[in-house]
Amino acid sequence: MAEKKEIISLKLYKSGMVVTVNEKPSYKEVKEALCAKFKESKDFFAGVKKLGFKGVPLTNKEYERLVKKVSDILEDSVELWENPEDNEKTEDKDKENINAQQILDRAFVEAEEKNTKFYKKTLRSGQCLESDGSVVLIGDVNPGAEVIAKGNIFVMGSVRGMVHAGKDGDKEAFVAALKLSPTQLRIADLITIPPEGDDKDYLSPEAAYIKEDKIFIEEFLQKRK
Amino acid sequence: MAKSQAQVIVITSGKGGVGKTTTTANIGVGLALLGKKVVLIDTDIGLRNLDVVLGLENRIVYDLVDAVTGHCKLKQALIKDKRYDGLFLLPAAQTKDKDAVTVEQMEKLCNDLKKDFDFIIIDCPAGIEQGFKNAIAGADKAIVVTTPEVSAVRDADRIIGLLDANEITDHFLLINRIRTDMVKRGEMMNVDDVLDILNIELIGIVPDDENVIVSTNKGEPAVVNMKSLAGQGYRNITKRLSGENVPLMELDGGGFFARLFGKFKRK
Repeated sequence: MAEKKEIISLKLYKSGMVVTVNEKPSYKEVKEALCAKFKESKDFFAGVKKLGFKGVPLTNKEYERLVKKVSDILEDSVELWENPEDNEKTEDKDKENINAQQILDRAFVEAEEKNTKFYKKTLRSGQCLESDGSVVLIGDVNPGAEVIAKGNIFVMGSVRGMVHAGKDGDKEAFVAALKLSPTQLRIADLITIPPEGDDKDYLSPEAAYIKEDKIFIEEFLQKRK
Repeated sequence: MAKSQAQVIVITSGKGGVGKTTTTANIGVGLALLGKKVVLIDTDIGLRNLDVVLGLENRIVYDLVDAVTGHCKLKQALIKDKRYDGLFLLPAAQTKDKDAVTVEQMEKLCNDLKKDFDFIIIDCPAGIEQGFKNAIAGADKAIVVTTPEVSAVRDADRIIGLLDANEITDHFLLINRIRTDMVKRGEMMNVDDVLDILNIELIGIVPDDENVIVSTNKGEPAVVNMKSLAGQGYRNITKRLSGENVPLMELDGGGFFARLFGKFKRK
């Protein structure tokens, strides 16, 4: 898929948002692209307190004007984030310590981008659900049934069959289900099977995702203490 | 008797050997004993068994293929069971194969029979090919037979999916050959385990019972044997089919026979 490279790309971190300026454009173009992005998903970006820049450099004055623009759109005070790269490195390291909670958070960010579709049915043996986006399935995936998606798979029910998220190699894809005991679970090009004797007869919501090139399965509901 | 609410029920399972034919024979005889007018259709062309289980093998002159292709009149092909009032059998052909009948012919056959019977019970062959398609063609309800084994449950699941795809959504589950001793030891799936996966309405359970083999060999379905546990299971199912509300047979606690005799004393 040849996608036109956008003038800017955004990346959200815990401490703020980093804008990467991809090409050498005029200040005006950057401003328009940035305003458009923020206006489009105002609600989603609400809460961003710091705005950093990297890539093609602009002048400090221009940075400050951009930050001002963004705070106007968000109707909130946003400050310039100096040297976002340093923080980025530490947060990228955090990625190695990523947990199911953060994985699931990602689903919201990606819901539109990954073309999430909803289905309400129980997949029985021999039935296959294929999607070129993410899938939310309300029902069970029985043994012998398959769900294959380019994006994420979320099953509001029990998974006993085969599920494959990120079929085209998306390693950030995940599988989440109210009960995860698949015959086989695949994410991108990794394949795993649940350990033997792991057959629970109660619901325990779990998510499977890739970390350090391995598939991890973890309960995603935080335990109350 | 009003014949308007004739029910066409297909007995199917996907997997072979789980007891479709035995179930068909027992439900048929059971319904006849309740005073219903019943016809059993064996669609397992080339591997017919239902006539043997019913002990009617030597009375076959014409069969299903003759009837749908017009080689004989439908009435000529129907074999009346002299032991049970109101029970008829339409046997399968043994020397042809599944392609000898089409889906359209089966639909027409079922519609023709609806006028004269309360229940039309279709014995489906194993598999999901032409024979299965023929068997479900005219049906508006299905009883899916399974045993508490993963392979049988898997195939039942597949069958339910195919029934749904063919718009037969009125389907019920019959769990056959349950062995209480094994369930208790955790060596066999219990009713809940099966229902958990298949998630359709349960019409009844039938415990494993040696009497079934004996009665099959004799050509006399277990449902008429008051001492047979499987017979009791089938009697409950036929009552439910005719609209009665019967509680599920209890399989645990106390010996089978203790409870069975208890039942007789009450009667």
